[in-house]
Amino acid sequence: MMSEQVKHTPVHFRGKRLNVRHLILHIVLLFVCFISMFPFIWMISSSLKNSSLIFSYPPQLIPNPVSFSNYPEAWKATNMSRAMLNSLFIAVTATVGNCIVSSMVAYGFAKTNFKGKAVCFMIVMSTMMVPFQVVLIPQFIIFRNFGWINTFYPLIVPQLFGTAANVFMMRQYMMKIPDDFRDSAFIDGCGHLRIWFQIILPMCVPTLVSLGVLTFMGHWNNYLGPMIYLNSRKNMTVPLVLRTFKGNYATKWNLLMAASCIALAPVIVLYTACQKFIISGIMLGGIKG
Amino acid sequence: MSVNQAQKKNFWTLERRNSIIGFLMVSPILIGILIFFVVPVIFSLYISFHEWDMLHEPSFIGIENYKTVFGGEMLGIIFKNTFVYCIIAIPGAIFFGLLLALAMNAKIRGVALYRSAFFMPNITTTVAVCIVWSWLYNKDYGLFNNILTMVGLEPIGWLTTQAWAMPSVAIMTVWQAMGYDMILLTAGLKGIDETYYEAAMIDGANGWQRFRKITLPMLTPTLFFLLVTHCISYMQMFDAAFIMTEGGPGYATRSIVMQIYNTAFEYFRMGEAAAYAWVLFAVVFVITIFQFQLQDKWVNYDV
Repeated sequence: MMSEQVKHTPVHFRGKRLNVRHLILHIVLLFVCFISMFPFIWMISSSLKNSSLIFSYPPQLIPNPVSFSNYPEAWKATNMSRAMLNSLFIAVTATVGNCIVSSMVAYGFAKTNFKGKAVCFMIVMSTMMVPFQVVLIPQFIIFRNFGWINTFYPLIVPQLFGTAANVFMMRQYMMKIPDDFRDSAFIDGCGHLRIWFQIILPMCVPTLVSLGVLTFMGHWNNYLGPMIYLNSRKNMTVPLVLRTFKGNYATKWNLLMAASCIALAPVIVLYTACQKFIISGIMLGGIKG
Repeated sequence: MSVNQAQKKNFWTLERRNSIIGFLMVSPILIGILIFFVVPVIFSLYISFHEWDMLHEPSFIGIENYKTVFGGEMLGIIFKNTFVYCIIAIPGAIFFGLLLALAMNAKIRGVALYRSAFFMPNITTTVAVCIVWSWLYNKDYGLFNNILTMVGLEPIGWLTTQAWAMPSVAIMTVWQAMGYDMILLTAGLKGIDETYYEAAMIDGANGWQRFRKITLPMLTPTLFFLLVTHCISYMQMFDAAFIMTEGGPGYATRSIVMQIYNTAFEYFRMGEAAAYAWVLFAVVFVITIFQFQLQDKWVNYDV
């Protein structure tokens, strides 16, 4: 990408017209950057204000004095450590299970042959068209009959069968891997299961990581599911705890902002660390069109 | 070859065994679909024809639930609200996403940095983001109204007036979604062959003409994809309005899914809630089919 850049436009200040255009573009992009980031900046700023400064007019971007006391208070009041453990447990088990099973199913669709494979694939894909709300209520009733209300099972177990979207994306990727890899392993006496796990899966690691991070984020951020199934305080996930906190501390905005900061910190760290994978995962999803 | 011959005698030929293994590898998702999709879908249809509060036995009432849904005043309100949301959020997100993608396609420095900033709102927890925006929108102390007051304008009841509540939620969605649209549109722009532009430049086409005649038509598949997926997911809007306004003021931000949620889990009218869900499904389905019908008119697939 870089070499292309050099070819088309001078990086040094030579062509004056081009640079003016670029300058305008940079100004526009920086402005939008500011808009994108500002709510987060304001969140941090508000979280460092004491309870009188938070309502001061005109508003201050850099609080004076800076007070850090909102953080421990919000952490304690929300029981955040417990919530984070819950969220982490649900998101990790659901994501790992989902990705492994989805990749196995994807291998089945991409690299094996059996009667009715095309029909099976069509069935899997068609489930993506029906909104989740249609099955929301019956699923709730089914899980209630299992005695699964206020447990993590409804949020994890369905994921362990693989999901249509992840199967689709893994399959797309596996289709691009030449069949020769599979065939030469066959000659060496490998079965499908071993070919999937020891040959194809290692070749799919980047896609697997992309889908894994996105699936993880989806579970970590999920609100409706946990809200329906989890009702005791000790089982609450981070979004639930935040929502409850907002209900109880409706006017203590500095505490609410501190709690939001705490809740967003792991997400932002993960995002910064895995950005490349996240963005390539998003693009994988877009290929569908 | 001798191995092959030996196996031919056996019923379990290698080929047969492999096809069974293949089916077994696919079977988890088929079982999952049966338990968590097919059974619930049938069950949902069944419930929608019954009156059921989850305490007593369900009693069959025919199409009574659908009559209640179509006869009640809520259906019009929730569809109107959801459409208002979609009409602001979908074009808004696609338009700003396109602008950003075009600006970033100009081969300037720092693209990666801009991209991570634009995309960040998309990946962050909606509940936390909604709390932050509720604070920004706050009528008395929120930053937006502070700024309006500073420049001498009247403060706006962003989330507290019927007229502004849904547009306010939709504006937040545009802020959240434009980074996602930008990434997909950037991928679309990358896919356009440079030679088209070179040829157009030789023919003397100006920037606007090149955009209008090359860029836009070549992006239509991506735009179509965004339009269809946004319609499906924004019709199911729930989180943002539920957290910021709880459907209020009045019913101003009550969406279709919130109505399903409230009917089922607050009023415990499971049958009616299931009926609402089927109406939602039917509408989403019709809109999607309609969009696919219309795509021949504007989407360009020949490259």
